[in-house]
Amino acid sequence: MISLRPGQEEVAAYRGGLLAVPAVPGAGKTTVLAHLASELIAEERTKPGKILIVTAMNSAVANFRSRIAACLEERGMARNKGYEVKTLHSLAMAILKEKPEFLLINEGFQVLDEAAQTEIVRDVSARWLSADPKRWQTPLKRNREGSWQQRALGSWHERDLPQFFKQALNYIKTRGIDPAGAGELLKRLDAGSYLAWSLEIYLEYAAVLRAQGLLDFDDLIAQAVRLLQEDEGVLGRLQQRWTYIFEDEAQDSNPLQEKILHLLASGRGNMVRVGDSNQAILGTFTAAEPEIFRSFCGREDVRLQEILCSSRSTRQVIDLANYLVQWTGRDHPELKCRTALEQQYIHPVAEGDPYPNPEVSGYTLAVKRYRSRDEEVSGIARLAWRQVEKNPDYTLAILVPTRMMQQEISEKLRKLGAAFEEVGKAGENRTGTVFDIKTVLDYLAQPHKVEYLMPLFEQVLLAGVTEESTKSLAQLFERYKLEEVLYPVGGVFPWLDLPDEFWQEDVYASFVAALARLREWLQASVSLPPDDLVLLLAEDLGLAEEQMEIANNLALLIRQRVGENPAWKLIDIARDLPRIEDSLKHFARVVYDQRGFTPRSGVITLLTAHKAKGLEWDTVFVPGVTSGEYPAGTNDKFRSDLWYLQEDKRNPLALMKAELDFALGRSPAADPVETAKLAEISERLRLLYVALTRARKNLLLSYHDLDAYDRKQGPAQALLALQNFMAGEASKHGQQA
Amino acid sequence: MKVFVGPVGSGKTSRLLDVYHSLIHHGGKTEEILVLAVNAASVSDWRRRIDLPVGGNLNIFTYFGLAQREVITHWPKLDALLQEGGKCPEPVFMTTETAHYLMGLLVDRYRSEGYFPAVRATSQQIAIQLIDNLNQAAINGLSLRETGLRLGTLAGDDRDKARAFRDALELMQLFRRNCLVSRCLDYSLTIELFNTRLLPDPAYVESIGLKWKYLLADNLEETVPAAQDLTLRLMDTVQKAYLAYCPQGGYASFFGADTAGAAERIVARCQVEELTNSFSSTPEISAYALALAQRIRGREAAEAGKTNLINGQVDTQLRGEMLTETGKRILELIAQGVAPGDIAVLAPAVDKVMEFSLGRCLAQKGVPLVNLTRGKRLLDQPFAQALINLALLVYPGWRLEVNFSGLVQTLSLLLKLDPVRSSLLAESIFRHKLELPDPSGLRTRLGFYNTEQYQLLKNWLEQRRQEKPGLDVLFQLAFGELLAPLLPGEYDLLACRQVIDSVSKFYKVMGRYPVSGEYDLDRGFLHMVLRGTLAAETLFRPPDNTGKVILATPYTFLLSPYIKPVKYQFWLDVAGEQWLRGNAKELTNPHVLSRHWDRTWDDRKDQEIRLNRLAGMVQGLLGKCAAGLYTASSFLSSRGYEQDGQLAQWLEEQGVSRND
Repeated sequence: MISLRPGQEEVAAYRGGLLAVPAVPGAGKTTVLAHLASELIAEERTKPGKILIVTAMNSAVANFRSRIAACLEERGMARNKGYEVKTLHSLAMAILKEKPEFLLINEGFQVLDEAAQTEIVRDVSARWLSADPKRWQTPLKRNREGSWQQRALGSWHERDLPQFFKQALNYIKTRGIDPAGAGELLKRLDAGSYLAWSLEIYLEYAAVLRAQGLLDFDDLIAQAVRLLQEDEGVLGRLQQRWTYIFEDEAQDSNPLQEKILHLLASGRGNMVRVGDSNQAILGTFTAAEPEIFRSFCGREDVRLQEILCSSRSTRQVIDLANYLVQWTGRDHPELKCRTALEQQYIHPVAEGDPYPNPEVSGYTLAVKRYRSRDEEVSGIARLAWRQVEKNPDYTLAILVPTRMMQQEISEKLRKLGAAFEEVGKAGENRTGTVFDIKTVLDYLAQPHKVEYLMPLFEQVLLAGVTEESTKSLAQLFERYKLEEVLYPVGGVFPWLDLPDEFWQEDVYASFVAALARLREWLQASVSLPPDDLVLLLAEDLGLAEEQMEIANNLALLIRQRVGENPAWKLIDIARDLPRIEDSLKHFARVVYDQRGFTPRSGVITLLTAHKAKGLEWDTVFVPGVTSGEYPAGTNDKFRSDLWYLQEDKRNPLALMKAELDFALGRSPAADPVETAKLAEISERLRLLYVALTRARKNLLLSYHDLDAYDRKQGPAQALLALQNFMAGEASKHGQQA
Repeated sequence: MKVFVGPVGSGKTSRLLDVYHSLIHHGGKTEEILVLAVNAASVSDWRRRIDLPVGGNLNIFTYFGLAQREVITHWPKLDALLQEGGKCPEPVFMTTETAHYLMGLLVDRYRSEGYFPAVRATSQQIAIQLIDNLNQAAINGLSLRETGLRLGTLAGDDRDKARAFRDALELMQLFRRNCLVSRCLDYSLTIELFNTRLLPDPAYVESIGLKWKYLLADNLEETVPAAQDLTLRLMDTVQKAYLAYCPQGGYASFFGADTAGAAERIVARCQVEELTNSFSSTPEISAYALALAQRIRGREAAEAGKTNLINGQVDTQLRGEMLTETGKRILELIAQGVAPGDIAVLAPAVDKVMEFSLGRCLAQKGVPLVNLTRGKRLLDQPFAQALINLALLVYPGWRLEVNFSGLVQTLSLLLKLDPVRSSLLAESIFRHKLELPDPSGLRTRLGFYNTEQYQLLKNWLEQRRQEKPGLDVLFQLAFGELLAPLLPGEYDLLACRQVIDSVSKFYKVMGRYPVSGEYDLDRGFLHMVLRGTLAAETLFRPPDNTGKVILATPYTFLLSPYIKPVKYQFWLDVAGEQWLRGNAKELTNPHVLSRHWDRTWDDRKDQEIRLNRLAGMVQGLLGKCAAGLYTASSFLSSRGYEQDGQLAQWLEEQGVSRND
């Protein structure tokens, strides 16, 4: 039996009603929820239904399932009865699949993954952009020189506008606006407004999706809400099926998600929401609203039970995290951001707890300064590498602020030959994986082209053979035409003319084997449809388990594309592969996330701070804590500001949101751009909080003075504050921070 | 009047066959015996199983087959009765595919003008549902107006739905008018003419009374109301009627089968002989099946059924693992001495991955697997594709796209050329914008012999370009001169025949059916093919399944007389939601168009239909299962969604526990 701490005990005593559980990092919420779930099941309180646990991420699904199963097993009960764990998307899918026809949706509907959605938004935007270029060029700054103009135009219309449209669509939908509503709104708007543009795109985009029987993730959730609202029968059945609702990571809820959960819980009124407002870090990417959980906590009919004890980190780390909370509330230079972090402090566990907080000797938190971004990237990579070599029993993570930096550090680590893994990228782009199939298909689609054959030899057929042999392979194909090598007339190849390397026994043997294999694939390519071909290749390449599952998914995706475009053949599939590949990566993440992620000691984990939620390491490096990444005042540089737009048009998303609020009769913020900036400052503070609370024992925060363009950067305000605090603490240990 | 009543596998069809043979034995003539069977496969099964010393004309029909024949026989009279359109010496019958294609053209056109603004479906999906509505109306004897009114009630005060059903009705009416004017009869119009024009005519009824003295009707539970109307008429005129009915049936309810109606209207009028012995199942399995069905229907299940029938369960994280694991279990059974033909793998949706993974897994031990579901595309068949590509090369002016990979495949097939050189040649043809390049420039890379062969093909194509034959002639020539010499296999031949037959049927219909704008018949046909409308199986016989592990949907397994009962069944994807599918779709609703509609449609009714259907299905399946059941599920669906479907849960509750 587990022993429960203060706060956990009270949560475990829950038997019904509405409960809000604000929990600090490392509070053991999964443990206590799993324990609670197994108790409710054991006491048969869930009958006639089950507990529904809604989590934010696939990895959390796996974690919850195994924890609950273990609790049930301990009680001598069946491991899988009485509960369902779902991500929000799976939940919405399950609801909508009950009866899509009720909403005029065909049962064969497909859900677009993000890659496919981006593609459609891109198409729709491209049409819109070419229809009336004057219109969207209006917000650009005027009278600049030609090259400036070129760069601005390029960024605006190739990258930022389509990106903006995608975010705008997401926002408009989660506000519950359907195409009919959008059409109505549009009539009242000025043609130059960002909202009008977005609504036009939305209408166009929605029409494309309808005509193809497609839904995107937002639709999936919006339609699930609609079904629950419009068909009492479905709602009643599902309320019967899920008698208790638990929500994990409630601080990341968005209005529609909350709506679904409220509807489902409205029958019996049993709902537990667990979250940490200080870890709300999705607002600028999605429609998540930390306010939702905060206001749930404040409701009169909701019982509030905090879990504040955490055994994850040393007291040093806890003190630092608490100091960040305190500093933000008391001293943040931007008054309006002082509420960014809830004044909720982490407590170490009581003495005698079976799982005490870790202890270290000396002060093990530090800040490091680098002159340039480049130096920081290489420096951190090298430091991490050395740390892991020195302390192979420790787990270590580098939590980067951006994907760009992730890529840079990843390259450095690779060059160093360091052992590392990137979370969320399992099984991508390495040989021996499903992505080899792409290389094969690229060639098979145009088998007369030697430029596609070379990568196939190098990466797949002769992977592992020396570089020299690959070079001589190139010589071979300079000397002979493809067909002369693969299908010599009369079946006889002029072997004597082979480059010298080929006469080495092993090289020769593998080359001959590769040719035989290639001929089999070629034969299959002219006799099988592309999806069958993929399945055959997957088997022939020896893919197994997750990789095989992804290959299976590839075959189904291809089948789907051929269904949409009946005349398509191999060549079309090969051309479509970049798009399919993105969808495939999405699926791969789902599959690998299901395995959950456990940091391994001796292997560096590299990931963005956003992905780090729920995880912990002995040692954590947080690079890039600069004023650019973590702005502190509205005059700082913001990533959401588009440099080439006129002052009052700089932040399309914020402006669009404000226009929408106004159009919907809600009073918009007085200065929407400022409000957006304040929100961003706050969210970055919470991101920093998430990052440093991942550390169990050792923490290194770092920054650089000059960015990649030699512009001044320097430490974030918050980092300066932390640095001061750390200096004081370190001196208590007789050290320097 | 006698009816044999019993579950699947109780020997009803065999009893009817005995009756048939005994009637003949006692002097009856085959011409006097009308046999009504449920589908084309049953018709052939009957024909195969009738064993007579002397031949005679066998009168074995499906209901639709009979209606079609009668409409042809009495056409002049019917033609005269019709007000729309000019007179015509004979009607043309439309295949389902042509009907779907033509309705699809209508939907496309009207959609571009703003029809179906709130419907999230492809035009093809909409078209199929509109055709379904027409069919449902016909088999229930509803006018289109009534059909529209009924569907309209589904909208309630939802304006989007009201609009969708209005649009649907308008296109259905338009399609019907086109059919009438052109005397192109789709399934629905054929039934309607038979039902509303022939059957009410006393002279006609008298004529059938003279023709048939005996009626044998199988699978009453799967018959549509219109077929039941006919059966009732015949029961008044024939001397003897022998029928068969399975109370748990109704698998074809989506197609309008009215199981309850058959019981109330027909079975109630007959002397009932109950068949309780099962030849294909055991009492223990039947008890389990009953208990499971009761649990599905939401009633307390009988404890007696709680014996552990389930021999094994596969429960995995990933779907691929489920398939591999299932394959292993099958091989274990076979290692224990079970014959492959005694094993069936059943899943509500059989996809490529399932077929491939299971097939490869079994093939390792030399165990054959046969997929009995439909779903192959004609365009994927190399010979059929060659015909299409040749046509596109003969008529480049049609501006229908030739596919590069398709052309590579065709060249490789026709010239027996390796894929690399085929690809070279295809590229050269593309570079010349489908003008066939001169062989001299190609000789060094293609080789001498291949170039000669290409020259022959080029000559052939150029000659056809000058002659400009119609597609029907072109296909015949291409088949005879280019494809037949390649020694095609059985399926290659069937695929070619399918293309050649389709084009001639298409000509017949499109020669009359009014299409807006300029419409070239030949180009239209290729357009239809490239839209993927043509399936590969229309003409194909079901593949031989003796001695092979069967892979099928429950529906195919139950309604195909050529699939014999098995000893072991594997139910796959039991955690998926597909087992519990309903009949209603966004624009069609068989219940609302049925005779049992009581003016309500809500979630309760919808669930009742789904649960009943599933309950009947599991009973039916287990009725063809003599030794044991295995179930398999995966936590993640093939699309990566977690699944917790209800069938898995019911199976668990019925005495089985899943283990992680």
